[in-house]
Amino acid sequence: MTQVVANGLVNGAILALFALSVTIIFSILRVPNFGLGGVFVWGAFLAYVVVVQLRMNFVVGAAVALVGAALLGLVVERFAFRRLRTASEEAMFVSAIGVLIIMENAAYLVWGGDTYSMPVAGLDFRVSLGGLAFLPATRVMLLVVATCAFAGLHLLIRRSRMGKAMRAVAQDRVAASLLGIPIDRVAATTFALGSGMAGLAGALVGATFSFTFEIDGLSGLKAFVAVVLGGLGSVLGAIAGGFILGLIDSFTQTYLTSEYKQVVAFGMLILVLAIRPAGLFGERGFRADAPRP
Amino acid sequence: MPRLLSVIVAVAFALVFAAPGAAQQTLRIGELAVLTGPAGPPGIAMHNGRLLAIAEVNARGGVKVGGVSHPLEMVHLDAPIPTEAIKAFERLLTVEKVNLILDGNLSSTQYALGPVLKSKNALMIWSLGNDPETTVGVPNAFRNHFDGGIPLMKTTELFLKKMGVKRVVTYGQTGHADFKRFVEEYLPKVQGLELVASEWHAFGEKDFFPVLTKLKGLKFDAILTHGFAPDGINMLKQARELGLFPGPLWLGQYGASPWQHDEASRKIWEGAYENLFSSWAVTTTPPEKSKKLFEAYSKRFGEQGFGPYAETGWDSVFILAKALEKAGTTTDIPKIIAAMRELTVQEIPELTLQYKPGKLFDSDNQAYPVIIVAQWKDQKLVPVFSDYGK
Amino acid sequence: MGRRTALAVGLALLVAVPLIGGEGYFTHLAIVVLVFSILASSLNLLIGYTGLVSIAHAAFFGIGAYASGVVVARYKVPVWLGFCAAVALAALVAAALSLPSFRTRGIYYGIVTVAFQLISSEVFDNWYRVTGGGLGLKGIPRPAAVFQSKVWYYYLTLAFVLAVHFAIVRLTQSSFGLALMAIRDNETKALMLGLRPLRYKAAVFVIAAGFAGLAGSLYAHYIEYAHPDFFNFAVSIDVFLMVVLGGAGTLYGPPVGVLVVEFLREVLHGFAALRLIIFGTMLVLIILFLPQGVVPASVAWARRLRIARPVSPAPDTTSEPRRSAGVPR
Repeated sequence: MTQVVANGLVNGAILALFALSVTIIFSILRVPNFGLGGVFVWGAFLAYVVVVQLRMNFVVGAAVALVGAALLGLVVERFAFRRLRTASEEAMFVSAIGVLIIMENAAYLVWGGDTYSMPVAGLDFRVSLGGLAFLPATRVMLLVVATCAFAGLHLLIRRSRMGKAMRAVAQDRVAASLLGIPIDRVAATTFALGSGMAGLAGALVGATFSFTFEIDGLSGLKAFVAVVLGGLGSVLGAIAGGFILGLIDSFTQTYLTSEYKQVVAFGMLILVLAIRPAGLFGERGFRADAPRP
Repeated sequence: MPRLLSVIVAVAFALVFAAPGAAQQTLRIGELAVLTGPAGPPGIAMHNGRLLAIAEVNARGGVKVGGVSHPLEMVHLDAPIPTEAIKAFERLLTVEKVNLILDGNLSSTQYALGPVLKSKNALMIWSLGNDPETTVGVPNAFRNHFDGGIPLMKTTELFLKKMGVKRVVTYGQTGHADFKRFVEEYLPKVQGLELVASEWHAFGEKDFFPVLTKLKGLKFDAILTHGFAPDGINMLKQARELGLFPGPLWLGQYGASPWQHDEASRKIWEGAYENLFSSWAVTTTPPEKSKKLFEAYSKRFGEQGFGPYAETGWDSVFILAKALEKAGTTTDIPKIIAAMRELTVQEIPELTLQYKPGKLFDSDNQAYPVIIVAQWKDQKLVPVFSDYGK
Repeated sequence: MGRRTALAVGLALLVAVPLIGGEGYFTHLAIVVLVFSILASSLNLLIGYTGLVSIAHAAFFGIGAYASGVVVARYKVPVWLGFCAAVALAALVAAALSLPSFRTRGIYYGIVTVAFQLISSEVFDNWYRVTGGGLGLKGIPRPAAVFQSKVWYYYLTLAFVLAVHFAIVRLTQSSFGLALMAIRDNETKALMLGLRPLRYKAAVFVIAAGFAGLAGSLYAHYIEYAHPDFFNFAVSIDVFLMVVLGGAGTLYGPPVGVLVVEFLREVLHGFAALRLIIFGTMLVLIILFLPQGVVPASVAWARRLRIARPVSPAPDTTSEPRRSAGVPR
């Protein structure tokens, strides 16, 4: 049972990290950035290059992944989304899909369809939780790094000036711009932050699991599900949603059925939304369908 | 004037010596290649194997039909999913005007194409696919290799019994219906093997811990897995992390080859078995022909990406070539089909896959190369067992 | 060119297609385009007219296909009944899904549809006894011997396409359609105007799903085979792209969108791996410059052309008094 919980938490941490990147960009800019899956893949490959080909340690690899992904995010925002800021959400969604396809296949062009593994030096051991559960050290590391990322992001948004600006834009873009907040810069920073998190998640996943260029597939989708489950506009909600989904997955597969686990997980999601249409921790008054400014 | 004359003479010479080319008509054949998507890596190896075979055929002058040498030219279209394959098939027939077609490795495509193919004046050779039934009822489809079906199930059963296995667990990918059939219809009927649990995962699943945790609590001698290699590696890696492996006999059915993984990934396979292939070239004991094929492949395409399906691609070209030569026609499809059905293994010396001597195709137009079980040792595949499964 | 003439020309072209394509590739493509235009037009009812983003359309496509395929192939039911079963089952499932999702809005609603799509895909894949799982459903027959010919199947599909189109036109131009658009523009205001948004949303969802189910049976009986890969998330995204690229909320946008996407795919098919990158880039470029879709952009462009063209002065011989610019009407 402890093992099952531990499994669920680890899985949930990845989802939560990814969900966080989604929620940042969506809450602040109302952009459903499906293309984050592509950044996720590139994060994994960037870390791979650093760790396996340049033989540096994983911390450097993860940092490179984060920064590289953030830069990619800036490029994506500038070229694929800036112009669409006043367009419909569907149009942005189309652009996001295009971005995802481009990034995924660019990774394929560079690295091919082979499977890659990224062993992290020094983390070859297993951690035993009182003999009740076994976790490979890489998974523990994943949990630790993810938690640090959450904390760091929380501090950034609550304390820094840019964080305040981001929150202002999230609440009311028109008012924010009237107040002189530079929307372009906020948009760029938001994308950079969100993409950086996604890239970091990719690096972590690449180290913990073997991966190919198609690794993002279902994860990206599940991240959106986690965000909605937790409630949009809520950082806590995204994190909670990620962990809850991870736990549900773990319990379903171990105790119920591995065949229909998505039926169970997504069935529960539909039920939750039926009862609480704004997600578990959705901010009251946060209208997902509010007319666009 | 003299200059003009020499030009005319030169052109005349060129025409005269190019005249033998008039007796050479390029024969175009089609290919439904699977170059992208999850079945891409095996499909690319198959495609390259065909290109090599065609180069070899052309180096000998081409396919000799009725005194005329026909160099081969292959037109290929990417067909990663059934809908694309149907489109590509129609395109090959009506736009490219080829009716001799070689196909890639998706059973779902073969099912989808069956009804369409039946009504057309065309011949297709499948070089992979997991269900013999894909040719049943379709007289103009042939299959020279497979990666599933009863022979694989039988060989698996024989191997497991040989290794003294009594209790078995399966963990396969949901999309692979041949494995589902094996688990739900074949295995329960096998005497002496008890199916303790059957688990499933979706394609691209990264986290196998939950199910592996459940399996850890069960008693079994062997675990059978089936799907695409990236998932297989992850599963095995996590089984190691969980302390589940080494332990039971681990039999993977992925068609994985050492040249489709990086070093770290190859190490993960150590000790596990693999039986989804008929190719000697990927093992440590390839016969001469397979070795030559591998060398030619590496020279032209590099080693990376080489897999167990290059040989079946290579073979498919020579099978077609021999059938055309025996039929004495490149356009009379019924005659070519008749010739295909009469082909014997011995008359095609270029075949790299190992078939039972005698007629190549059975009454359902299927050919059955031997199925090899190998074990990963030192990042290589060492053969330990083989059977035709029939 | 008047509207009537344009429509007549369009119809004539549609009828002429199989005469050009015969039994070959072109007609095959045309049939697929027609089937997908039913999908796109019905999805447009949701996205364009009601503001409901649904990524579950392929699931209903599949439910229709399997429903018809199973009852006809396994139980030898006549094909036209199979078609009815397809529409009925898709509509029923949609009605059931409307219940838990009725209070969700915006992206929450979108995710519910995604969840449903994934659930459906898992069922198609795993319910081996009914759907055949990854082996697919074989032996789905053409409706009748005459339809073994692609040409006739094209006309059959065209008949359905026109019927669906006509139905959608009537729907969107009725008070029902107005209500949908009111809900799309501002649900709260619609509520205050006395409309019951939840009822309309459920109704249009069921109607759209029914059409998708019809498309499913048309497709399954054409290919004579059904497989989970034909009805997965990627296909839902495809249909969504077709609607938005063509122009959501317009009548002819979705079919144009189908043509755009299919055309792109055809043009690019020779490029192998690069093809997908180019496809992705084209998606981004098209939506960047035509964020409302091809049809609205073309209409605006045509309008601009018309204004730019100089108007010839009216002849003096008429008895109509000349109006000066300042006289109010």
